[in-house]
Amino acid sequence: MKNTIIETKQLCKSYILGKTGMHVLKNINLEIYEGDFTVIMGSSGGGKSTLLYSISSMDRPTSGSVKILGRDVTTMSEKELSKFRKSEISFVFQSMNLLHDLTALENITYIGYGTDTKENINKKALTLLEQFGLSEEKDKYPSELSGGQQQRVAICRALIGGSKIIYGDEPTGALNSTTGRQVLDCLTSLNEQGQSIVMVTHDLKAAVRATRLLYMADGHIMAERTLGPYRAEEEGERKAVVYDFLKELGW
Amino acid sequence: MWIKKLKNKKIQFVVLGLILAFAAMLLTACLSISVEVEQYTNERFSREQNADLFLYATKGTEEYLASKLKDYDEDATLETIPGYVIDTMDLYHGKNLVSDYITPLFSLVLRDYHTMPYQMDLTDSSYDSDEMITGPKQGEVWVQKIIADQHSIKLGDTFEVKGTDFSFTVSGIVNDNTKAVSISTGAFVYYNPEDSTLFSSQKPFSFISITSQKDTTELTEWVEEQYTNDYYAMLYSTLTDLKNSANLMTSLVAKIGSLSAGFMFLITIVIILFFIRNTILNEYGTIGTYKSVGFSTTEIMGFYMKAYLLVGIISIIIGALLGLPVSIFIGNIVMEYMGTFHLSTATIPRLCFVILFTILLLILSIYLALKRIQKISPVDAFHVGTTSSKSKLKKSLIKGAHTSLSMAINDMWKYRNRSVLVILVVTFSLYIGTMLINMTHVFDHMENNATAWVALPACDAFLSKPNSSIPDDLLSYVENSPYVESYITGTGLFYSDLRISSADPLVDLEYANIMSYNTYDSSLTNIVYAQGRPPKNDSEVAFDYKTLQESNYTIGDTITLSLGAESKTYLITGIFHSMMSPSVAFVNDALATYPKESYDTTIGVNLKHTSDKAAFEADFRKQFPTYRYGTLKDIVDNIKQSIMSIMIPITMIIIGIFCCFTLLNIINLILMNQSEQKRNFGIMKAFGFTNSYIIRRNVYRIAILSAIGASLALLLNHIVNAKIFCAVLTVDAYQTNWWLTGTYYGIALTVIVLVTLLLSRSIRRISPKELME
Repeated sequence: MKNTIIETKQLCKSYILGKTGMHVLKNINLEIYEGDFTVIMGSSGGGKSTLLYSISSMDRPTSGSVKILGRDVTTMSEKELSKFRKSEISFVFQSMNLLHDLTALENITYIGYGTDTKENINKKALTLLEQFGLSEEKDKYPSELSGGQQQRVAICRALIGGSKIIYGDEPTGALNSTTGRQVLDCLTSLNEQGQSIVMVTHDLKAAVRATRLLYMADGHIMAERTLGPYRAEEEGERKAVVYDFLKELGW
Repeated sequence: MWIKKLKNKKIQFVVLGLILAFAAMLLTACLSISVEVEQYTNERFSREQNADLFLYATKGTEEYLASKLKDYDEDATLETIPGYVIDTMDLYHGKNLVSDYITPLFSLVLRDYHTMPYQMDLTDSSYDSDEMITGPKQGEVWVQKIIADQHSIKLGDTFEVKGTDFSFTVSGIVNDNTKAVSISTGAFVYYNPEDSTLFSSQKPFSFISITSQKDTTELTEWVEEQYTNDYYAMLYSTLTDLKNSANLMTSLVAKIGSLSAGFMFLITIVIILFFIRNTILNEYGTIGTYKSVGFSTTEIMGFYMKAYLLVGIISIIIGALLGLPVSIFIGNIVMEYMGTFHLSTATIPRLCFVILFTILLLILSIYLALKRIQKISPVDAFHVGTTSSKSKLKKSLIKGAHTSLSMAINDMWKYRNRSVLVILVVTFSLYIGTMLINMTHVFDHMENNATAWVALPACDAFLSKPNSSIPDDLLSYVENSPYVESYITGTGLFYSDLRISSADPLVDLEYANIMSYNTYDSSLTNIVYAQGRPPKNDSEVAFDYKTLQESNYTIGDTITLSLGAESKTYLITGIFHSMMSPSVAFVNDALATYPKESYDTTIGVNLKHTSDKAAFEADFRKQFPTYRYGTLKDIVDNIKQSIMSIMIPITMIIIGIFCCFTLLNIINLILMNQSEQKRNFGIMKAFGFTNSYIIRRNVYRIAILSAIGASLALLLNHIVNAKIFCAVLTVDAYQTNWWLTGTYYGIALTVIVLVTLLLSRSIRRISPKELME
């Protein structure tokens, strides 16, 4: 029996557009489990990104509750949310969002300081950079790195503080297929080591890395599919399974 | 498209517009004041309406000079007005006018103020408006406005003549060219010719005015050559001297203001260039997109140029026009005793100049800044992306920084150009503010530093008997008084009436102030010389700095001086600063052959406890009701009051303008920073940094930069201001009042920090979800 790390109850999110309201998330009840590589897919405008913001404490829902690691983030103050984000979760964005005026190493350590001693963070950052093949690039600024390198730095940054959940917002969306694959390999490898990952994507190649696949449309979780651990040699078969699943849902 | 650019950064454009408007306002105001006052004084002090030379001469000098004048210049005319030097006459208006606050005071006959040899206006009178009045009636006096204001003399007030039943009624207040500013020597009380006998106990003098087609300097030299021991002028003023004195404060204000406005405008241009550069860096990607879809460089430059120009032109025009009421306001303050300040057509060319010149400069600057758009290719732009160019990046100063303070220091280092701008703006504004505040304070507390202003001893009180050398009873009183710690004797608060001259034409001592004391011991007098030391024996002399400035003499040289009929060689032992130039200092022994009434007239007293001043004065006045009790404050009060009436409002206005300018610049830089860093702040929030951490980082950065700016301003103040003050006023009297300066800096830095804090509140509204695309 897996531990629940994210739990939503009657989660709703609405926006006011002009004079009309738009209900993006409609009474979503969802549980996400520890150690899973959960991928959220769906039609464009179906609410997947909004769901990711809501279940990652980045945005407050209009109604309903969101518990992350057993804590109700909807009732937390801004200060409590900051502390929570720093110690428990981290992000990998589609547009990397590295701090442009810090070097690769600084981008990682800056986020990590405060979660451990400086020495440990520095050591860990260098190890992560080495692990992701970025040792040579540690003193370069984001604008001097390729997209793939930037995204790998972003993953290192996500890992530095020992976050329990990594959220990914289309992390391969801005990358070419080769660098996209490198990034997915990194995430898969992390998941294999027990890291919980929640990722939104519309990319089939990314979706096949999931151990659990959720499909969203019209503000609802329409369906889900549990997959076994990812193996590179089974990618073709896995892709077909995922494709069929999505096709059935009208993707 | 350019309207969209304006809307996107509307707050920053508004702030930039305000900065430009402030600079244009100050520039227009100063140029307008400068030209209008110059034009007004040129007219008011014109040779057509005034004589060229005014002499306060001994009686009979007018006939003596008249007999020789035609030989010198047959077209020259000489006019004389009789009067008296009020010295022993106890003319009371609450206090004794002469011994307590107006020295020297002259009474002068006034028949028709329209026909005086200098411009005079009746500004207020007790008469009916339809009454044709040309001068005071019998029993009345007219008073100069500057004196009336300083001593709260109003129409209808009376001047009692102590010891008689008679009193004069003040029936007119006048502005005249002899007293347009308080630093002009002496004051006049104008009376009706029928009242002359009431002043007959006083020393008569002749107020001689000479008009000549010849050069005034030449005329003055000729007049001085004619002097004899009986016929000479105690004081003189040329029309040029009077005009220069009248213009002194105005030109000082206009110069400081114009210089400040010029600097302000330059800084504004630098900030605009910086703003444009950053806008281009931030919009690299957008510019690349425009180019890739077929917009030409000129068209893209046009988007930005139109936005900046619209804001710039509107701001400059509004600012320049607002400068006109500001110039009227300041002009009325500086010209209070000369007339009414009004704008004339002479201002129009200045106004047009400010508008056209600043707009042209703005266009040129914007064009140069936008030229870099030419170099942007779509490929480069897409590669660099939406953040910034590589050239902008600098290494962190503090490695492994994490705290908001260390990150603030790194930010300062990484964004050096911006840091330099903040420092520049704060340094410049605080420096000007420090200078004005301390100048105002120095003027306001002249009495505390009078030794520096007039090189007189800093004794607690000066005691004398009118028209007498120091009487034995006074000396005995001082020697036995329980209040007195020490004393000196000599010329006191006034100068000797001996005449001195030098054979060297480069050392002009014709109207020199002669001071003489038994000792200049600094523990008794607090006199500190700029160079060398005071004289110690009868063969030594010291001069003020300005007198020796043009000559070849210096300390250690000997100089031959004529005192009265005697000539003697003296050793120059020291140079002192004094605004009463020319001034010469001797010890009493050097004047021993002359009557003591001319130099040994006053006892300067140092009290045991300064808190005893009131008790000592009361005791002295009780013991010697007819003797004089004076303090350095009495001497400087006359000078300082009108300076203060000009300095305080102008200081406040300029400081106010600079505070706004500084704040607007800081607001602009903070807004610029926040708009650029918005994404970074969002990322930081996504990774758990609190709002207060991010705000602290911002506040520390601005606070540290402002503190550096403040330190530089203080350093500049320390290095430069005393020298500027001494160069302009020839007095080494500039002092920094640390309490006042500290308070000013404290308030300025607190306001800067508060504004930063206030503006940083918008950081709270930045949401990390904006990062998700």
